[in-house]
Amino acid sequence: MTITGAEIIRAAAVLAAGFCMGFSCLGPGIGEGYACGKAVEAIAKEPQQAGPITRTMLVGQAVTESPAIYALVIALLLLFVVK
Amino acid sequence: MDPISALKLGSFVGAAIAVGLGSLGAAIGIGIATARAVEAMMRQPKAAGTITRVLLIGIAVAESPAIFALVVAIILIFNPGNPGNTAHVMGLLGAGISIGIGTIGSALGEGYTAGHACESVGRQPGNEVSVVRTMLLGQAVAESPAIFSLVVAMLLIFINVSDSFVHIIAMLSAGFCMGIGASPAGIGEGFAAGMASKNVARYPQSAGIITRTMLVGQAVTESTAIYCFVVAMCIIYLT
Repeated sequence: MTITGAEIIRAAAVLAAGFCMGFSCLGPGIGEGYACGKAVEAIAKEPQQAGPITRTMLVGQAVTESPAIYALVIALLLLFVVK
Repeated sequence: MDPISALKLGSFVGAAIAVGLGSLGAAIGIGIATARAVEAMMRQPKAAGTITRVLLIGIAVAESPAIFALVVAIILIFNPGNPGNTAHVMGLLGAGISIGIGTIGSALGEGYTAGHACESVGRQPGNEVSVVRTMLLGQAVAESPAIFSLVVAMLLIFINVSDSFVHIIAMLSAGFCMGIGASPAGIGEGFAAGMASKNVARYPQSAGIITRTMLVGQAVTESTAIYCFVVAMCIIYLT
């Protein structure tokens, strides 16, 4: 099997996309779960504050989500734009 | 290397990675759960029967990601497919990596949930039913990243791809993407479920809103695993 230069670039882009998406989820996955756990604890203690607590949890999780979204954009760029 | 040896190399090494890494999370998670249960029994010896019952239910669920890994390893050893395709050999390795790394987080998270459920049942043995319900609901959601890993592993074993250099690398890349991406989501969801089981026992009157908040938060946490699943699918089918 002969491997051309274009194939090597494509294979490198595919490998990079996989590692990029996989490793980028390490932080957001744990962080969002932690935020959710603490929000559950707070709501259990103060059920009448459920509205603001849920809102804050969702805002915080949305910000925590952003690294994963950056990585998703980069992974899709690597897969579909790099030739 | 002749094609049959290459296929055996891929299937055996893939099976070893699957079971070796896949049992890591389950072992630690069940250890955490049992440690908390023993502690709870020491504090409330009268509730030992209830705690044991909740512990057995919880660790049976926490064991299931390791069983997924075992099933994939058995398929890899006994039904690895036809020799002669290097991309397929890499797919077998990728399947082992996907299910091996991907089940660590789910099993850890579910073990943590079971531990908190045992502890809180020990404190409030009367709330056993609502605690077990919340624990099982949370664990079911924490299981889903492991199920994504299982789906990707099965696809990598059984898919037919052309034998090009790009596909050889793509099989490995999809396995790493799904495996590494699924693990943290499982840990995070397990933590949320653990907090929910703990607080359902302490404040049973707000069980409804606790479960609802847990599910909303877990759904957002799940999105990272879903991104990885989507990218792994793109890598498998669109390269």
